[in-house]
Amino acid sequence: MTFNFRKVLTFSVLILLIFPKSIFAANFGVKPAFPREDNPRSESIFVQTINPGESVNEGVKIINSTTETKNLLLYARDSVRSSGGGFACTQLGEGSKNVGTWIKFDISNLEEDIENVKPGNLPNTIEVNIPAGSEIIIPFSINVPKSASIGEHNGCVLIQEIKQKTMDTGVSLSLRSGLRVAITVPGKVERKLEFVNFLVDKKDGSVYLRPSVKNTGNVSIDTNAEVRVKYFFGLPHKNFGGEFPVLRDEVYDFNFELKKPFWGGIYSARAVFTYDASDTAGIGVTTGEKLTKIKSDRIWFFSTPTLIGLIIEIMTLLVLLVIFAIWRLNKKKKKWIKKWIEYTTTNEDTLETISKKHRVHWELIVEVNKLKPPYTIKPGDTIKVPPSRKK
Amino acid sequence: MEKEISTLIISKFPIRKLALAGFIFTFALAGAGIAFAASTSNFQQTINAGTLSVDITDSSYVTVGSPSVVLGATAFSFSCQTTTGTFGTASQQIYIQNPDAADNGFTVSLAASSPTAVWDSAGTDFDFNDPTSSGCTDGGDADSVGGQMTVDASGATLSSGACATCTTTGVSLGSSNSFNEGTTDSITLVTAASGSDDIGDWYVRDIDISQTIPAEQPAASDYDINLTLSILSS
Repeated sequence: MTFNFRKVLTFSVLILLIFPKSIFAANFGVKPAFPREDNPRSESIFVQTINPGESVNEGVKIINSTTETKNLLLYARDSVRSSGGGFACTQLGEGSKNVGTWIKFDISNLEEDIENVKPGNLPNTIEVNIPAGSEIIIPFSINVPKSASIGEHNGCVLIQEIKQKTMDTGVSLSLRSGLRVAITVPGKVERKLEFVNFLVDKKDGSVYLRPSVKNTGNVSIDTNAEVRVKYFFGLPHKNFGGEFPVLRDEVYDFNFELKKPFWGGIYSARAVFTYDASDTAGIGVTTGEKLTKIKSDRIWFFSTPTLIGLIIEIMTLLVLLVIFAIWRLNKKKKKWIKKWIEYTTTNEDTLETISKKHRVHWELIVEVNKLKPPYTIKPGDTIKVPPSRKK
Repeated sequence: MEKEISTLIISKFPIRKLALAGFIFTFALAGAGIAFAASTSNFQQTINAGTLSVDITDSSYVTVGSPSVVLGATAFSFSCQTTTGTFGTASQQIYIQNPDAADNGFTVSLAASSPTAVWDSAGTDFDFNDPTSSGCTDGGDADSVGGQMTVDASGATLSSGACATCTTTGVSLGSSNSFNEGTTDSITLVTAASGSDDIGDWYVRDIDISQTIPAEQPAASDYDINLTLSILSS
């Protein structure tokens, strides 16, 4: 028995097309090495509660899923506010003052091939030569100083490819990825958000809805931000939002783009922020006990329609105007016809002479009097005609 | 007689077609993620965990080896002037991947290698984060040169990438911001909320960049600055 391999190949390709798979380009990056079962957020970021003067051991997993060996630099830095309130970290070339200095990498007891891992040129940096398709865990400790204040402190663990400086002019671009390190020093926790403002900007036809909130507490707050856009008469048009972390002492400016609405017109928008204000809530921990909502005032804005929307709107308006004009004329005509008087025809009268005499189109006389073709008028007939106009 | 009938059935039975159909059926089940226990074969497949990453790729999601951001060339001027450029093009797009690595969102931001960086040249440098007179003169920062860079992601294009089922829901672009030493050292390009796709990829194109160049800035062709594009799980 022999297989027809051409058919098999063809069917195999068909099956692959029927069951498509997302293909991701290879990358490198970092993940928490020891996520905690009690906090799902620890799968994506480092979350720790540490008393002043105490330390906690952690680990970062460096993954190289590319097809080539990568020479990477691992380091820790302080967090910094990015524009709009987003989470960012200070640069490799900058020193650290806070959480960046609390993190100490330790490769002394590393079981991996130590030749591939060595201290970097800058203090507290680690050079990792990681083969293609492999991963390595680098342990580190978080040492909270005794002077650390109560509340949340944020920093970052970052990985960046080591590249030789090129002599190119213009913008040289480096890429890095990192994880937030959120350390809470226990004590009286304050969780409070305050509404700041709600701005509406317009650019290239789009409307940018930009509400802002400020975290006046001492820990970050994961807030569910929602902007509800409604039509003039109150019907819902579109909702924007999601859950975003608002860092302590920071103002978060949200920026939601409302693409030019097809029909344009007057819209209203309101921002609603919902967060767990309970002092037992935290990063990845929600209690639902003290769910707090803050709302902005409703703001109104006008948006021009798209070109096609505008053309349809103008044409619709014209059609409506024509219909209205016809309706008004018809109404006027009916009102006038009600004033018509009875007239008894004579021998000389024809439809034409009557219409000329009363200055009215003969077809209207036919219509009002419901005359049938050939529209002959006999002497002595009584028909309705317009009253004589005053001179 | 009984033997003849069975032989007839076997000879008429389309074994080749049946084998082919069985092969395809098995392959289809494997593609659909359905597995059966096997007593004779043990196929193994490992899918390694991915990580949150940002890259500069071409439109086929192939990494660009030496990405560049080109600002328009300008001529020497006795007045303060502005040059513009685009960060993220069809051939060099910003490509973001989240293969189930940042379930609660992330931020993509752009910053210089240091807040004290400048557009460096063999001659006179100029600044990227001095807001004095809208970047036209030097202010009270550490350096003694003027100049300011503005990054406007608000009008950029954000689309889901290779992932056919992913959406841009919960992913938003940053607004227009200018670098300002000590105040705005990092500019947000993209923010993803926790409600965005846990497994997803996106690309960003057409971020507007403008740079104010102080008056009488000497003509030179070697101005360069180091910028870092960061992606952070938050």
